[in-house]
Amino acid sequence: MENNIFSPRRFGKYFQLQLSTNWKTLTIIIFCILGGIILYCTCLPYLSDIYVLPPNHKPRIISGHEVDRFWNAEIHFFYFIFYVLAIISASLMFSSMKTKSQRISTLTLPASTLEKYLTYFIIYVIAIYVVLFICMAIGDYARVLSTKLYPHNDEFIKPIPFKYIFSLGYYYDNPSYHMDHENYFVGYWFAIYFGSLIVTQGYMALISAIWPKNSFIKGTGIAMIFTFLMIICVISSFKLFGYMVYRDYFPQFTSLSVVVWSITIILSIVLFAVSYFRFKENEVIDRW
Amino acid sequence: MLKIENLNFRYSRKGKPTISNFNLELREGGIYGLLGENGAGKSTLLQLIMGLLTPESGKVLFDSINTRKRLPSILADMYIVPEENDFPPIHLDTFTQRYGALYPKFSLEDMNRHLSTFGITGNPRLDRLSMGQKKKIALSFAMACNTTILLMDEPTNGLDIPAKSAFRKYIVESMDDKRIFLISTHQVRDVSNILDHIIIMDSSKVLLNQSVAEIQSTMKFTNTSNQREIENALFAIPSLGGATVILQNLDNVDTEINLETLFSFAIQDPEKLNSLF
Repeated sequence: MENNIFSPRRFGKYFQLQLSTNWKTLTIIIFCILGGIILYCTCLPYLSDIYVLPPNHKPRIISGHEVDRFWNAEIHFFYFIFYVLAIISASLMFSSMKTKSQRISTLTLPASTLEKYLTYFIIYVIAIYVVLFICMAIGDYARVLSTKLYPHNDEFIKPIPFKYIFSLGYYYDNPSYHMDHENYFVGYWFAIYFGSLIVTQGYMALISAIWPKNSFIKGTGIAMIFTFLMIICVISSFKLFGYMVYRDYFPQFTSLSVVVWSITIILSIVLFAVSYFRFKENEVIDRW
Repeated sequence: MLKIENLNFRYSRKGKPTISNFNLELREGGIYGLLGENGAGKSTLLQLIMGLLTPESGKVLFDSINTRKRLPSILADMYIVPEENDFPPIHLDTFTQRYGALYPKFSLEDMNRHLSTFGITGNPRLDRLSMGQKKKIALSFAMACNTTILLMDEPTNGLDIPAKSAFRKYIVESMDDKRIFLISTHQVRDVSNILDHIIIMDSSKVLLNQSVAEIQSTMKFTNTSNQREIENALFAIPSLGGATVILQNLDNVDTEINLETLFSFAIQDPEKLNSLF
């Protein structure tokens, strides 16, 4: 008899079922994202004159390496669009529970809650990372290919190296997070960026488990109210106790990345776990 | 066996109970008809049996396992055909292949046979079908899953006349001594000839839970204009030319059960009805 908690065979069948019922929608979305990224990567360098050479042109050098002038713009665009789309994708995690008949179908299909949850987690939380990186790589190569159509003089035009992507626009041979005045930002901001992303995805997954309909709007609304209240609290504490009171408690930059990663990983695990148990207790009616 | 023990349920904390101290036992080999007034809780009961709702107290046990746990092994042996059926935007072949793979006893041959009898041909896209066509596909798939428990909520709603006849035929042919069919319906005429057990409920209790054979051996159903018969009847409803009456079956002659009259009797005087058994 198969395990009632997790069966790889049953999980595979459920995963196939979800892909086959949603593949058209997912494919359209992927191609829309890809199209948008290719359009941005190929058109913007020329619309913004990035490859048009001024008089007395000098190559752009960072840490001894010549870099493509458009890399930074691509990186910043990519990380912005990545953040937004990853959050939207997580908010759609339980979109299969929007209507009563969909809830009946989802809850009565013979698969365990864990198998169903993992399926949605892989499709809506993990896969978006892979999809967006692939789309970005294709868009970047499309940009490099398209430059051959336009006149430019010896401009350094190359696809973005992986090192450059994960150093948030700083290019150096030995990416480390030691504290010197050029490099210390990278580790800290990288931790802030990806740490906050996984926490926000966990939060949206929980919102989706509670309210499968319009999860993104409801989740954003609640987050805005919460953020506003937090700002009020922080400003009030500054006014009451003064800004300098926090200095003694603020960790050194060397350990800040570790602190940020630790807090965000723990928070995201808690949020995803709560969303799992909320999904497990779901009924055919929406009591909230 | 399916056992419902002291089930209590309400939709909101402040609202009145929809199901209150409900007890019922369904044994294998039975086609049970579930009748009740609007708002009696029939659909709610089916959803509670399927584990789709959380009761306030009490439980539903299928082979001694609480169905609310929604274990895959239990779900693979239970199926519910809801009143409204929505399908994903996929074709019938894909639906049959992907959804059928999750049910161990699913039979493609049975599915094709039922579809053929219901007149569904080709490989249509499911989300573009009419309500009646969706119901036919839902019923075909449900019967092809060959689950031990099959729950149906208003299964004949939206079916055309030939489809209703096909439905009755397949219910009878699919039944064996290991399966339980529970049909909740207002369309009593569509199912009266196939039921072998009748349950009439209101929210707080089962008003009647008897086999058709037992009912037929205890009561006679007839139309009469004889005033004396009408006065001595267990229950009477005025009709054209006299009354539809329920009489005590003293001469052991089985008559066809008039479910509508029986239902009215159960609702208006359940104590008297149950005292006959």
